[in-house]
Amino acid sequence: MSDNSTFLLFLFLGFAVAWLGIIAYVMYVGARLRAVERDLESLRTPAADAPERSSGSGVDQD
Amino acid sequence: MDRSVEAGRPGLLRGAGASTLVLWATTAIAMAAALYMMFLYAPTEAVQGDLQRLFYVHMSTALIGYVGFFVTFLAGAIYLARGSVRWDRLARASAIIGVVFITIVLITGCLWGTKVWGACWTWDPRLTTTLILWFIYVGYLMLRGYVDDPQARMRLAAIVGIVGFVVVPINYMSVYWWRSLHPQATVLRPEGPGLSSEMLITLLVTMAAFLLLYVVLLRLQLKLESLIDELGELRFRRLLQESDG
Amino acid sequence: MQVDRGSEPVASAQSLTCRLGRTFALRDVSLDVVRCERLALLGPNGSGKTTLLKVLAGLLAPTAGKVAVCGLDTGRGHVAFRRGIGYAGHRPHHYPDLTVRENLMMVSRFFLVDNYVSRMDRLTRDLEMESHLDLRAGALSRGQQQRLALAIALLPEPRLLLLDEPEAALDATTRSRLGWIFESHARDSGIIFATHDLASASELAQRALILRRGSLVGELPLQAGGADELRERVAEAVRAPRAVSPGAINRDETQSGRQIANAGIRAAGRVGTIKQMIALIGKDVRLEWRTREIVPALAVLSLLMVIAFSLAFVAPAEDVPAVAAGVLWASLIFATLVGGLRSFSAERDQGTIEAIVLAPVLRSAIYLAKAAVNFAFLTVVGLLTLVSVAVLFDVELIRWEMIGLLALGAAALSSVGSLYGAVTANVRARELLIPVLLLPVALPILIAGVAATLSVLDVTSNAAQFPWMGLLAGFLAIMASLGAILFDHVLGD
Repeated sequence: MSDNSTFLLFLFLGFAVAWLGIIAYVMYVGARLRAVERDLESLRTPAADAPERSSGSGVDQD
Repeated sequence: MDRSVEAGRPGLLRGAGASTLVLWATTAIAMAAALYMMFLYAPTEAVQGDLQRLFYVHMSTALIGYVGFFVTFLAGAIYLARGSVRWDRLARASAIIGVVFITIVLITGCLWGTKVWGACWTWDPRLTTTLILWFIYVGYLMLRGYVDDPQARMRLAAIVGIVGFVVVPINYMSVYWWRSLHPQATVLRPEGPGLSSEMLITLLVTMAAFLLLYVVLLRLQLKLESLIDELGELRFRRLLQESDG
Repeated sequence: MQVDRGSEPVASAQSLTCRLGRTFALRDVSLDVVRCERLALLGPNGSGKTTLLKVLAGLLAPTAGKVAVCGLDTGRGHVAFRRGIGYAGHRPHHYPDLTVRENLMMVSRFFLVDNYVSRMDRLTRDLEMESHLDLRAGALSRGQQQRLALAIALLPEPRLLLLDEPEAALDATTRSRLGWIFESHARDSGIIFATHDLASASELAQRALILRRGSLVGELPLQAGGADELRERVAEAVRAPRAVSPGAINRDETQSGRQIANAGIRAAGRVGTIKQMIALIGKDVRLEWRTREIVPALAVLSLLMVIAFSLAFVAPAEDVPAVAAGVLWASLIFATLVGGLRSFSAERDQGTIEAIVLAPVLRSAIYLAKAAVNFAFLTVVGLLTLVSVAVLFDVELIRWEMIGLLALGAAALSSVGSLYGAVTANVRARELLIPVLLLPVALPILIAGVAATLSVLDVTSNAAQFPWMGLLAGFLAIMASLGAILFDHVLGD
């Protein structure tokens, strides 16, 4: 039987990979959500108030 | 506006309704319970010691990966039958989560294997099938990026998602038989000689917690997808307004 | 010429909206066309004329709205309505490497035209193409190609004739005879044509619809000779600030006829479908025989792979059969990647995929025909590879079991290769994407092929080949059924 300390190290590594992976994914989705919501806001606001004002910042992003 | 309170919440929780909060809370509790059981309830395995505790997370992420791809397959089929964008969104969101989780499975499996088998990888049928499945769904997501017309993108992706899932059993079977041609030297089955009932209960609780996590992530991804669609629609309307006005 | 506006429409479109990318190509367009009616579509470039014709022809699915041709649904999953449509668009629909006669024969077989010899004779005579009948279609001049396009559209005696700038590239004499040609070959058809030539519009059509930015902005009755007046009216309608609402367009009397004359327009029966499949297969085999494009290239590629692999693996003598088996099947997989890609991308690049989509052929029949052709080509390539592996590796591969196994493997490969070839045909960077998509799905064939070969070579137990062949057969059955079911969603749009 190998020593339990390297087992623990690998256990820790495995858990770190799993949880960091999931957290990174959630943070990525969160960041995307915020960015998209910001774009949506910037598009909606001038559209409601002043239709004739151009909205260059929102449109030329992609 | 009745949504002003919810809209005031920052980031991920923005616009979250009561049901979402309940779901998130349940998931957090289930995950805490699973962690408790993994480390304190389940007995230490005789051969692999504490490393065996990785097994619960490894198996559960694999389960979510397969569930994710199954949902992609199902939603793709329903999309082809009904033609509603919502099903395509579900298929795409589920495939993304599936790829994330299968990636985690492959990495944790490698770590585990390095210690227990002395090798990061063996051509075990389950491992090989999982890797092939990972490639199929990476291809699925790539295809989505390579088609310009949205209608065509949804249809073609659905086809690739369906075919990719249907061949999983054939892939498994062929690799399984193939292994019987080349008997393996190292066989230390991941499960070990067998699971005690405490281990089994721990596994089931962990799987349940991860299924809840899958639902949480799926809803998040779906929200993102629908907002992206909404943004595209809004930009389209805006462009139209400008060209008409 | 009598146009009875009360009769049932041959084509009826309701509130068609079509979004292409970030623009509305069509916005809430409704129209009805009855028997014998000639309708001109007018409007500046980009006003949606071509899109409207494509939607009516069933080449493009509308984002919203409905189309019925001869009372038949034109939605996905329907092909019977295509029997009633003749279409000539901007891109030629003929195979440049077939002769004019062969192209016309092929179309008449797709459409199951009974009296095609006499029809072909009359059409080519009236379109003055008799002398070109045995020329390669690709060698024709632009004007002659346009005449061929008209002949292809008129050949199946369509109820609805859709023409996109029919006078383009035609000489003045032929142009002036267009009306007479329509009269003698499509007398009872409803004809919709898009044009920029107001003189021909006022000469050929009784009615004109004016489109601007995808919306209908006016409708005019036409009399012959009124080209100048027409020009003014069109300019006026196009300049107007607001679109005419569809309600303003006169379509009250056409709402009734829902139980339209679709007598004689039916989906092809079983025999008809088999005839169509034979025509599809015959077309591909004939093209290959003439151009010698696919099989020689795949064979050479496959042989090169054999040589590359044999140099790559340094195997001890007892492992040679195992290496030979692997090399054989890996080479065949590479041939499939390239061949599957080629089979549909060539059709797409030449625009002939539209000809197939427009034909009233079941989508599953198109898939099975393509798979059959790819099977034939891959079997030939596989046999050549087999011989070369047997010689180069000095392994006893040339046996009956091997030939059967190879045919089974080629069938399985072509079932999945044809499906993925069609899926990637419309995709950016398809040559990069097809290996990524196809290889993981085709791996069971590689594994089963190698394992069965080893058992044929007695490296493993000789009886072990049968489960592997069973696996190949199962793969083939599942993939062919999936392809036949799903192919409806691959083609079109």
